Amino acid sequence: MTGHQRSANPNRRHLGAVGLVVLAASLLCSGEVSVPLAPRVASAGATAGAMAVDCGGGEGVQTECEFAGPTVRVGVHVTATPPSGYAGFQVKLAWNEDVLRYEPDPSKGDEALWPECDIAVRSDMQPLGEPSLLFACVPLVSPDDSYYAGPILDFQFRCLSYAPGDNVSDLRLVAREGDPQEGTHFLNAGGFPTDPALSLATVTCSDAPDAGDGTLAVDCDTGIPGAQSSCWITQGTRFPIRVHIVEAPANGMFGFQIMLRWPDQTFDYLPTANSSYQIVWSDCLLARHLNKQLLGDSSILSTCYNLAFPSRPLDYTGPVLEFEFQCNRDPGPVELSPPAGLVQPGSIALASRRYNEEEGTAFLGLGGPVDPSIVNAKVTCMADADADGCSDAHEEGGDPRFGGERNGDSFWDFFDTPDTANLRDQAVTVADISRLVQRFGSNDEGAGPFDRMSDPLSAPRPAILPPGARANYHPAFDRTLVPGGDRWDTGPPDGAVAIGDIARLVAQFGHTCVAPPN
Amino acid sequence: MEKARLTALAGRTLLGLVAALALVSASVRTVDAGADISGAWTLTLNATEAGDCRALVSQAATDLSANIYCEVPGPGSLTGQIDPATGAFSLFGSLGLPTIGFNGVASGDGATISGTWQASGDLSGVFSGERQPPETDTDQDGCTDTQELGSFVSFGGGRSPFNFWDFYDVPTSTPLARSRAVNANDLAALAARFGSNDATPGAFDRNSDPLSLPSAAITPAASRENYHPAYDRRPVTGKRAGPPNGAVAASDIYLAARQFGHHCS
Repeated sequence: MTGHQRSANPNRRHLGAVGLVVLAASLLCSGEVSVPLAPRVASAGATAGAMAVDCGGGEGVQTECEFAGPTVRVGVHVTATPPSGYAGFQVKLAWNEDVLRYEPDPSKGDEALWPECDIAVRSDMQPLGEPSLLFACVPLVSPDDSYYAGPILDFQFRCLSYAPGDNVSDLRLVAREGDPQEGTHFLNAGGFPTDPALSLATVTCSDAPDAGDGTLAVDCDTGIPGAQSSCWITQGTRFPIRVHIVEAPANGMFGFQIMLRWPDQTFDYLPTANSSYQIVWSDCLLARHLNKQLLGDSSILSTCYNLAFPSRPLDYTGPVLEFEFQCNRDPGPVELSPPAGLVQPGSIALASRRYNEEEGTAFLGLGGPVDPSIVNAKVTCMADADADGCSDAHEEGGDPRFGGERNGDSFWDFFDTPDTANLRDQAVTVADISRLVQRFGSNDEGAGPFDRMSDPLSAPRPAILPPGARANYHPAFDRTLVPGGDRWDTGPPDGAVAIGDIARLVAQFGHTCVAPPN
Repeated sequence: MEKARLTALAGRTLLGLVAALALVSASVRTVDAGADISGAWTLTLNATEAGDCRALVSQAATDLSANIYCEVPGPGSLTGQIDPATGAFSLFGSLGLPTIGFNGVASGDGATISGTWQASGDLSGVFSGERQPPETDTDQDGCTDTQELGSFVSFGGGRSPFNFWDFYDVPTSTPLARSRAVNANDLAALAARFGSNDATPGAFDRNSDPLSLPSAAITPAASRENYHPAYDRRPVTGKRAGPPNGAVAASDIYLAARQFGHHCS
């Protein structure tokens, strides 16, 4: 007898008809409608309660952590209980197997922190080639609904890669939806799943010394003073990376050597024709630059010396080097499925001498190399299907000032214009107004290099005088108003840079997709 | 008000049953040793709408009580009376939905019963029943129909004789076999297959025969080879468990734990 046959008893149908008829008769007699309670299962997309990955191991939930030691403690917390509590749970945790390895505790019960966890069940999927872990906790006796919030699981991981750029892993709770193992969920008293909101943590396995002398930092947003260590960049967008001396070594220095690394599937380094253009430190009198990307290694080795040595050790702080990177338009395969619209964040990182004794990052001091403390940058590349400079995640947002309420497939609804290098800055600023004014009155009547059908991402010719010259027309500076849309809602070009375009750009003035999406 | 109407309806139904019982009583011969219909029965409601039911009847002198389970609409409980001299009986109560009355007579050898049934909503028909061997296990889940119709949940009661899935006894030990009890071995067996699922092709899937012999559990627990529907259930409202959903997950451990200590041995 098969499982299918078990549910195929022909009498079932007939007696079901009896039940239905009787039910109908009952309802007619009673005048009341009584519907049996349906299982309380969260509908697709709906959540109840919340779980989060904690990489801090202390009070509360810490979602970004850097570890210098070989092992990493990772917890899972209930950060909000479902309104009616929960009677058990299942957690599925996934990570990047190139960076982390789960080390199961011989006693899985020790990994369970939920006070009601009488039965702890664990399945380590690493031997199956899947860097994930399934863990369930249920009480043995019939439970009261638990309203416990706090740490429920505690795991140990081992860092496998300290290579800067390849030493970052998300620790992600896999959702139940679409997961054949039913992912992460609460159980209610009937054994039915309830889907919590899920949040992840990012762990960096650091090769940096525990306490360095002086500090070097990677800055991923040169538009903000100081070194910014977390940035969100739209795919295809070029962005500068600067290295800052945040704190000079105690005895000064006469130069430095930096080794910058990054994951090549996420970023492209765009070397300039003359590497000296990347030197920001004005005291750098002798420089050496090696682009090891050409050798198949995603790294740069740069050295700067000041010839004042040894009479005058320097204590300069500020930016010293600048490089240009680009978020790959095609990031290639990633180990983990990131949240919608995002590529797994990558670290653009300074490799220490612990990673590479000869070429690692160091200040050059009077007595030899000085190991600094290192602060790296995490850059999250965001998909941008329409290539307008606002990521899909931005365009799905609810605030138009931050790219929201837009169509992720329409290039034309974000009026960011290219500069003379054909670069866009992901924001509608006074510079964009100025560029339109320089081409005001131009149109595509008559023959010319570009017309309204040209690729708006192609490089415009430099603006010439008068602004209305035919050569000035380029669709990057031309829009229409979407009928029925908001006054900032722009559509494809109409062949003329007119007063209406300036009005539409002004309506988007201040809109930006530089900040992380809401 | 509504309760009064239902009571009146029930009263009319009972009156009809009693009248019918009187007619039947007049037409049957006396049962020599006194009729006793205690025990398990297979019932078939042979009317326009037919159904398959199991009943466990207890008789004390002339008083009857019965737990009944029809494949649809489900469980019911009945009370009534029997005339041991003639074997004529009546039972009345609920069966999943509204009210139902049975009016019948036992055969002279006590092996069969037959008669009529009438339910609210002007539904009626005839029924017949055969006494079941005590060891009958219609759904082959390891609990006899008698046990499943019983009142003691820990001894297999409160279950459906038609639902294989509501008794979470799974194959354990070597060779793999069921023990007719839900104990630590069952929980351990589930743990040994925790995470396995039928999302990819394999020897067994959720539609395979749950009585087929599973492969021995291997490590890691989530291996595709470990999936077998014998270890898989799904939560179902109003039932202890339902048919498999394709993954041995936390809900399965939870449902098995809710039956921990239950046995039908």
